[in-house]
Amino acid sequence: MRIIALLLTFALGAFLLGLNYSPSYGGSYAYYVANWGEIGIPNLVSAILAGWRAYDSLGEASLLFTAVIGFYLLLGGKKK
Amino acid sequence: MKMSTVVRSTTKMISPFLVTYAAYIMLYGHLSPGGGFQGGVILAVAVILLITSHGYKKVRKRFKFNWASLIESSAGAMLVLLGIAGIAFGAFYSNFLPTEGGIILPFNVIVGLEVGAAFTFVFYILLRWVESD
Repeated sequence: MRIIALLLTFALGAFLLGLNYSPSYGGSYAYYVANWGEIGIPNLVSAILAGWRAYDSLGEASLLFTAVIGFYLLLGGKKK
Repeated sequence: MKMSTVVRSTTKMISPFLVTYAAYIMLYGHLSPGGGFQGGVILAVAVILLITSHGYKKVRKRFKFNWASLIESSAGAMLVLLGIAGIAFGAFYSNFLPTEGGIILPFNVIVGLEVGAAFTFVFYILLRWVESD
């Protein structure tokens, strides 16, 4: 059992090391840097997260909301 | 579940500053490093520190369980309403405020409240589960 787990761990490590980590050219990165002034704030991370990708942040918040609902349904039933 | 006097007085002194720092990170998230998620986590840590040092039974009298639930769900609803309000100006989450950054400031504050209340709520539920038996 332990040998299988070890093999799986090494296989996952080899898979992750074999991925292509070179940055892709073009894509959204160049657009964000070029059109920074469109949002009009000096913080680029906030401009991406809450400006262009506010919909993604809404999904993130709803993910947390779903996790809280799961906690409440599973563990928070009745007070003892 | 109560820790020593040193830990209790230190957490009592630190946690108001943590709340102030969380408010700063949320309100200035569009100008300096920070944002809603980070500020919310620090806001939750301020309560969690008090719970771990003073015990759940004492903190529960001031920071009510139902308040965390109310803040969490109302912040989630306001986040969706903020997006729907943008529909009147053209698109979902359209940036309709004329100030610097527009809706990013209220968006950060609402996300921070949601995240802070959610982590506090999860911690409350886990502690109640642990101490129930």
